[in-house]
Amino acid sequence: MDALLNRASVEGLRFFGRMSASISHELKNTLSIMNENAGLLEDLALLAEQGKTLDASRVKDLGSAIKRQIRRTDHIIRNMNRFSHTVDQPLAEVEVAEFLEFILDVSRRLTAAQVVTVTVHAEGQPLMIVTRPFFLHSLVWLLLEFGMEQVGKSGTLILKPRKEASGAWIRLAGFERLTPEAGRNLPGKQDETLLTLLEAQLEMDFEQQALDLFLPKKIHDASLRGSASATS
Amino acid sequence: MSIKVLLVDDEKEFVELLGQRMSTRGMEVTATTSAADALKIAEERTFDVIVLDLMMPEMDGIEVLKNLKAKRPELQVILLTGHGTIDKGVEAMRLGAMDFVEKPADLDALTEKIKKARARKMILVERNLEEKVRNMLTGKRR
Repeated sequence: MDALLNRASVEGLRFFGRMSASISHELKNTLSIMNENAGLLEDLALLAEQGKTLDASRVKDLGSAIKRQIRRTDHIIRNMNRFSHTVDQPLAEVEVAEFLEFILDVSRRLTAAQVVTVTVHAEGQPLMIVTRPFFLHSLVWLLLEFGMEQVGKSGTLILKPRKEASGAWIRLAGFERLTPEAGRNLPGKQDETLLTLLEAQLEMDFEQQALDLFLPKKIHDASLRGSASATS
Repeated sequence: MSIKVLLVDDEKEFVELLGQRMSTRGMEVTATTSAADALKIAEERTFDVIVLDLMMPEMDGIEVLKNLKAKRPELQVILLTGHGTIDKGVEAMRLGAMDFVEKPADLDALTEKIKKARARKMILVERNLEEKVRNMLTGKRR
């Protein structure tokens, strides 16, 4: 188990770096918009000093735009905080659909860069599992990367969680050309490591053009077991 | 004569605001949020400088830069980067970008770079013109 964890940790560090870089890019964008709004306010003030009438509604709009970007930034930072804490939570209880929404939210910029739309279709009732959240996030992202490569630009992928007595299934649907040839490298070495650590299994449904990931209701392996720490 | 700038960034609010502020500083700005549209616009119209976001959906700034430079080598491109690192910026310079600016951009610094870019473009255009005239004259002598 230690060797597996070490391997997963090295790859996990890469994944963490990639996500962090994407988040920092999003933050730079919101800062840039706030910077331009503030700059425009300065421009208007300079023009007012030169005798031009200051349009109060314009100033109000710029203030609202800055507030909107502050809310957006706050949301990104909250996501970043939650994402960072998945690393220090060896085990945690998660609601599958909500966790998938969170994964998509964190990686929105990366999926947008591929021009692929990914959505979660939840069943409605909460689907709780005890799992390793960081490794689950890493595995779902690897599957999404595979999916995005398969569907190509302007493609659509759907994540559908489904309850089962012993756990949860997550179906990744939306493929059009999922063949044994296309899926020959799945699961890859990294996927297999994560599947083992998550006590999960991956199946390919060529008829339904979907990938199915099974996650147990609770991780059984006692190593790395810890309480679900509170995030701050 | 005002400097003609094509501004390309996928953040709509950002291009609108920056475009507006550049216009008040006397520049003639055309703004777009699409990399594909930018290539089309740059082919149809003449610009002194293109200010281009490095990371965009559809096609990243490096790809747009390669396309632009292949079609119009004299075009001056300044890249906007949201990344904290300069690796991509260095790659962009190697591919012919004139300069890069890290976001959030300081408009005064960006304006200076735009002015330099226009001056450089004018030198290149003049050199090309001189070469054409020289070739014509050489051809006449033959």
